[in-house]
Amino acid sequence: MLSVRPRVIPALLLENDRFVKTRRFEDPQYVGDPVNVLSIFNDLEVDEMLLLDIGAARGAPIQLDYLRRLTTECFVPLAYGGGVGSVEQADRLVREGFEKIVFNTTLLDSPEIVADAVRALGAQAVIAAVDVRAYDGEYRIFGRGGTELSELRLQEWSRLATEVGAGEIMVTSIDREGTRAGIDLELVREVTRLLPEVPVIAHGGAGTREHLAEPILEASASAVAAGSQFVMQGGRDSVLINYPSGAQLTDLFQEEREHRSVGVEDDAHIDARYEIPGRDLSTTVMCERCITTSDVPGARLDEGPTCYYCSLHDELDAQYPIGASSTAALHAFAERLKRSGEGKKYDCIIGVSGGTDSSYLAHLLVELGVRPLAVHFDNTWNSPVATSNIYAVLDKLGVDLETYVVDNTEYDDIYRSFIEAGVIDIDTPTDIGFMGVLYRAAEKHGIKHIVEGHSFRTEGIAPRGWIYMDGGYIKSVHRKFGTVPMKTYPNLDFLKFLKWSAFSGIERTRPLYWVDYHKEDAKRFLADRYGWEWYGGHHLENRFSAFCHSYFMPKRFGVNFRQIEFSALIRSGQMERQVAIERFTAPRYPDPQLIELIKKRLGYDDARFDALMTAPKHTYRDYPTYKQWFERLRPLFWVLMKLNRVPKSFYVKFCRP
Amino acid sequence: MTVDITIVDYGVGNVASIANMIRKTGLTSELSADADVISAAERIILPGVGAFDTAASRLRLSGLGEVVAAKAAAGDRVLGVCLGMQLLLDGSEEGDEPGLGIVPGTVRRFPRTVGDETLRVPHMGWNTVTRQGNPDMLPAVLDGDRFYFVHSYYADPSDPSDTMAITDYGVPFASMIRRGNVVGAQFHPEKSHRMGARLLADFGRS
Repeated sequence: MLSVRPRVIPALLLENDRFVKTRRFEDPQYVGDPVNVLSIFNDLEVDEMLLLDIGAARGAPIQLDYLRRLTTECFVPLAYGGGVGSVEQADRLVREGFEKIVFNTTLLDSPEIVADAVRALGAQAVIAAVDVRAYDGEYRIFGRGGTELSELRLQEWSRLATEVGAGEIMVTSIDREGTRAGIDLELVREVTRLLPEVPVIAHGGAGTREHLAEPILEASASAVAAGSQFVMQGGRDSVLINYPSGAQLTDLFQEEREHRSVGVEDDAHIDARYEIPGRDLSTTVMCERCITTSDVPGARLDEGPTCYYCSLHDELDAQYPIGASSTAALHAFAERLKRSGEGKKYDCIIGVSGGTDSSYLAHLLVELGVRPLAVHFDNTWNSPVATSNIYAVLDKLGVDLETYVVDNTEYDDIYRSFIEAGVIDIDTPTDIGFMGVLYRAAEKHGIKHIVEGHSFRTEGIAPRGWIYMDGGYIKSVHRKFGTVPMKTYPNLDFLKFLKWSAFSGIERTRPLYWVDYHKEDAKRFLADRYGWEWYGGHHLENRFSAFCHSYFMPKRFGVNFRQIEFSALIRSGQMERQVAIERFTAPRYPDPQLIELIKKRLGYDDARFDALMTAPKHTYRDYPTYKQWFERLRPLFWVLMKLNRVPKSFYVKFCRP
Repeated sequence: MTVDITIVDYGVGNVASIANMIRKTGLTSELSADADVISAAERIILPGVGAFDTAASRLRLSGLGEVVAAKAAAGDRVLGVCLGMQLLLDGSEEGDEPGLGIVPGTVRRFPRTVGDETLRVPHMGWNTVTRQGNPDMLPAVLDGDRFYFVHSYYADPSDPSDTMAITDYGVPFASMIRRGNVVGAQFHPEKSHRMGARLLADFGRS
């Protein structure tokens, strides 16, 4: 056995500036933002990536400028395919950062161009690719993105590929592509037999992890490429980026387990440009119990030695005491869920983000015999830890997932609108979008319960002056600053919210309130049980949220959300107050690459970004919101709160003046 | 301002990827085809992909080959990557052009068969290295580190002490070479995610 490891290659289909997934080369389904998806795969340390522009393959021009944005995100080998018809184009692509160029139709039409490319760029840079479909009882070759039957038979094609000197072969089964039915091993065997001297990539149909190994172990392929498997999860074919871990690959290929000398290491660099100074405590008063300071809105530290949020905690703690009664309440709730799901496929909706709380809650529900439908709002800024964690937990639990992927250009426009509005709560569109997606899924499937992974014991309650959210706020900010029409964003506008909360009978519940929920224990448990990973605090589950919390809010507004979280952990006995104070007062260094990524994707140069970071500040009060309606309808929302249709925190924060 | 690493731009190779990876490590780099800039550079990388003769003749005709050889002779730090490594030797079975002759030896093609089995060439994919000799140069590269390879020819230095690391693909071959402050890597550190970043950071801070 040779020591070079078989390669497992995500094959990603580009259509304009979107990634899509096809089935038998047809029906492109939107998968996500290419910059973010590539960057996730890069962080997952995939062996190689293959980018196929299906538009260019059928005649559209090669998008060189756009491709440059993608290659700078990749530190793994990258191949490009789609419409390459000259050596000059191939050379440009190599100079832009692609290691290999895929020739498909050009090899059928003008093999001399491919031979020239081999001479100019080297055999290693040239992949000869062939798309094959069963036709009249034999394997036949189709060019131009699978649309045109070629006269060449496989044997003649193999001779051609050898003559032009291609360094690598890729064979795709059109019949299997996107079906997840398994790779056509007979086809791969035929190709590796005809071409014994060069590496062969098998592509089309790999639906499970086991499918990945078959062409390698049973058909002499050197590599396997797959699309659907790495961008989708589970029976509902929901979008979710995933890739096997190093240990899984070792098992799959029956290699001796080796010790990988790389662990997950902290790759954040200390960059003084982006330093966030530690909090200076000399000018404020601190709560004697937690680390809430007098400048936190609503702290009310002038009224006593401990803050309002500590009293709110005690109130909730008294309402949800941990013990026999809470266990009984949890079980009673699980029974209610099951009864409401009788005759249906699912008992409740659970929003999943890949974070600790929603992952643990999914586990808890399944343990209690509940059948949840997991729903994920993909705002196209996910981090690899998020997608890997969702995949790991749901796959083992056998829980179905439904993902809603928002349009990437539209969402970036919404984010830019909020940044340009000068407000602090720039990540509000994600919170509202998530809620909007949960309600929509509940309505669509006729499910009466939404469960939320919130725990006041570990997260605390965000002050209203720091974060405000409602669908009207998003509309008005976007109307004023946005340029891309809002079409796919699942906003929660007032009437819909009222319909879902008041008239559809959808209850929202936070079961972790009944559990002695300990964050660190939960992380350890999830890691042991599900291979869930915790990469550290600065890698939150979403790249934009990470930017918002680690840089934007502390730098521009002096607001540090860890103050809220640490305070909650102190109150529930999960953190030493002294440790929290030390961390709160120490300087922080956000990941400079994260900030660069944000600038690049939102299209800000340094000058524009700096101007926005220092522009005059505004608050949600400067823009039209639904706040006055929530206040006017306060009695109604009080009733809805009592009926569990809206959380108490919603009532407290949004319905009071 | 002096940059950490100057990349010799003679029209061959994926210079954008190398510059991109150097930026990721937090170091600075520049691309240059200017003999004076390269002569004055702190450290240089000689990149290269493709055919040996194309690259060797471009190096010769641009005059940059001489500049690289002079820097090597002066004891400056030089890193050859992939074909850029092969160019450090005397010549190659792939072509007729002479190499730079900085490291004595030649570049050979992988055998077509090993035992009864056909060896698929290029050697393509992730493979491990085992260090040889004194670990003072690029100490960040450790036994068992995995890098991305894609090549049909490999360096065969005539002096065994010039082999810095070996890798096995059908035959054991020199995946890294060194002579004085000149180092060559057959694999692509710029495409070998964290381990590649570590190697380049090590080189750029050496």
